[in-house]
Amino acid sequence: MKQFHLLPKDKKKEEKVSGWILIAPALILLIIFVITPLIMAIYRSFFYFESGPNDSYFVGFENYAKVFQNEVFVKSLLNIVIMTLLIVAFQVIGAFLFANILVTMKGRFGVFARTIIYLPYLFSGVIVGSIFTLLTFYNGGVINGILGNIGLDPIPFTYDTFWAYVSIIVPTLWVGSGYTTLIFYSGLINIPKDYYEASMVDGANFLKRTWYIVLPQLKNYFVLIIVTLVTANLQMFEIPMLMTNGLPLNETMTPVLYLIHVRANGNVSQSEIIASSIMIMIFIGAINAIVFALTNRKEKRAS
Amino acid sequence: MKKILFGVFSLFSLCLLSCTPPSDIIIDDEEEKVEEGATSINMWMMDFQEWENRINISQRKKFNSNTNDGIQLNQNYINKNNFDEMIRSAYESKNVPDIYMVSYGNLYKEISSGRAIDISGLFSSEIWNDLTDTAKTAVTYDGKHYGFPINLEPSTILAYRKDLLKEYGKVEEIPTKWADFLTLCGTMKSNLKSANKKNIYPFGVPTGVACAWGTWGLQASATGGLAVTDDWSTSRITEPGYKEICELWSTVYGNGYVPLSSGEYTESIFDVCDGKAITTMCGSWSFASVLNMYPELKDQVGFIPLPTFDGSKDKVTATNGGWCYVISSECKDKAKAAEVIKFLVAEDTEQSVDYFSRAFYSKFATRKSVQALVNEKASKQNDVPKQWIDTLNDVASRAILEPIYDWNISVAVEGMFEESAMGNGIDETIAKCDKTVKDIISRNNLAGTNPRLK
Repeated sequence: MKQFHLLPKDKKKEEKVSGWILIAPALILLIIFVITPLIMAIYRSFFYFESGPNDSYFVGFENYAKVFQNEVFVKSLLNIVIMTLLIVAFQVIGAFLFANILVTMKGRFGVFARTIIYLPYLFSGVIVGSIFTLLTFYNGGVINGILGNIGLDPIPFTYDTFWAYVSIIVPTLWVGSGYTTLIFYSGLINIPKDYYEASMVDGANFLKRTWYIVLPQLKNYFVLIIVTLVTANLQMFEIPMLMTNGLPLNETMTPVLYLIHVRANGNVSQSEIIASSIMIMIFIGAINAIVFALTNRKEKRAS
Repeated sequence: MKKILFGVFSLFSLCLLSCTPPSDIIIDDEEEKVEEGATSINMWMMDFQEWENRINISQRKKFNSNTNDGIQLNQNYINKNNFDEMIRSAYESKNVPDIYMVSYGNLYKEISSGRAIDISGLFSSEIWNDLTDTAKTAVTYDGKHYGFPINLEPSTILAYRKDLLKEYGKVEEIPTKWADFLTLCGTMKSNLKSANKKNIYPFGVPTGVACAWGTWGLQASATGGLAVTDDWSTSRITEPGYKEICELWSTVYGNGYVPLSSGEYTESIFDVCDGKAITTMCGSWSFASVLNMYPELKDQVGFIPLPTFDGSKDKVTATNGGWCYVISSECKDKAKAAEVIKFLVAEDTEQSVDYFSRAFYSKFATRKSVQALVNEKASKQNDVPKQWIDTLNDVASRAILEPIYDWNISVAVEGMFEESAMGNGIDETIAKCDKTVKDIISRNNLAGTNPRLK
């Protein structure tokens, strides 16, 4: 009896076709909403361009030159690198240590603790920023109210660079640490108990167990968390906008916040804003490439 | 359990689907008339405060009640934070409104991009001649009118709490000279300290981005101009007046007369109303804020022009901001679009007067005929204190228009004031800002390009 083949006979070809069919919807959407606008934006960044009936004209790299000569923009790039380094370091270390504590919590109390630390992650950056603004407001904020009652001077969160950084980093850690902790927690509970038991028989203490068992086992979790956190924090703007809005002296200006500021006034050309956006994209891409390269190198060494 | 969850989820989804966004912000019982076969004129309006939207909608309904004029007016209310993006997107998608609102500061960009057209010939010379000089200048470039002005709002006046001023300043009036005002701040600070009132400050100033535009009036008052020369050829930062402002900022921050950090300038009046500040710089829109939010403080809050460095009462102390209607380059029937603008703001005086009185006289009219009637109505009412209205009229009549030079220049000046506030060397700070402004001028080839001089 003759057999009909709806799909190609060749297995590899069959897989290829089904693969393309599966990714087609996402690919089409990406081409329409991401790749095409990106190409248009890159093209327009080489022109003086404003939406409207007037013709745009070619200016080469002039828009990029203007962006690079803008001190506030350059400062915002440096600021975000410092903020990201601090936030990623505090968040990874803090979440890892806290996950180790969570593992030891059993029963209802453990469930309660996991729920509580995850809760802040459900709030948007705007809500978190609003909550912390109420806490840190100079004249009438909760923290300064308490300090005033015990006879201490209020803390100027948007006047002093150190405190401005604190007022951005603390809410960012508060909102993100719960999620990071739970990822580490899921990694920790997946480590076979045999490893711990064997190390205890050999007399390994907590530090040695962490160094020789836990860290190697959680290597992929660390890579995931670091890459995700670096990408997210390089793009942050809600919390800096609500907490300091770039103050003092643009010390807490982030690249995306800078874009919002220039977009809000009418004297910066649309093409210059596009060039700024592309520079930010390249910058974030480059930092991510460095992070990937570093983590890949470590993986190769480990293998 | 799964069925219950599915049911709840379905119900929730259905509720969300049924909640379509309202086409109007204000719903009233009055039915809007539709003229069959009429030309549709589409307007994009800024979504301002409710009272303002309510007036605009009632005017639209009044316009549409005439079903013989061949025009059906439609309005869309757009969030002010997205307005510029929406306009640009509209031009990209060729779905442009016939008329839309633009601030005076952004008007030239609409003109240079070709989005706003010359409307001079669409209105009679009587209408143009009725505009105040400031309003006409705000919409005129190269001798042509590109927008029809709706209102003017002075950006900087001084608000104060009368009771707190008397209690801690031991005076009833604010001095007109900055040096005397600083002495008063010293007295207030000292008395506040004696009374252990740590959370009350003598004064409030704009900070951050607001410092960039909220000090334009102060700059004009101190230096007789702004950060660059009128032809944009060079910096004016080394003018002695800028040093005076830097010293003022250094003194008020250094002596603790102002809080080291403060909230939004647009809401600075609430610090005075809440008793956190005895005096503060603020915009004229604060009249409406006090009367809407703290009506019981109507007689306790005063508004006066900013002090000046020489005590003169004739100097510019504020800039005038505000909004105008423009007709888009894509509008198919420009004459009919002009008819709509005429009805809304250019011809009828009664509804314009109603608009300014409902704004608690916090805005200045752009037409001489309307302002005369507004003044007459204001003199016969008791809702808004006379001192406030006199202050607005005084400040607005002397105010200059907001500058339209590169925004980064204003940001550089803001940085200079902030550095002075933080105690950095004033001379070094001025030199740094001067260099930055000159760099911006040369980088953008700004010299001789001020379109207001053409």
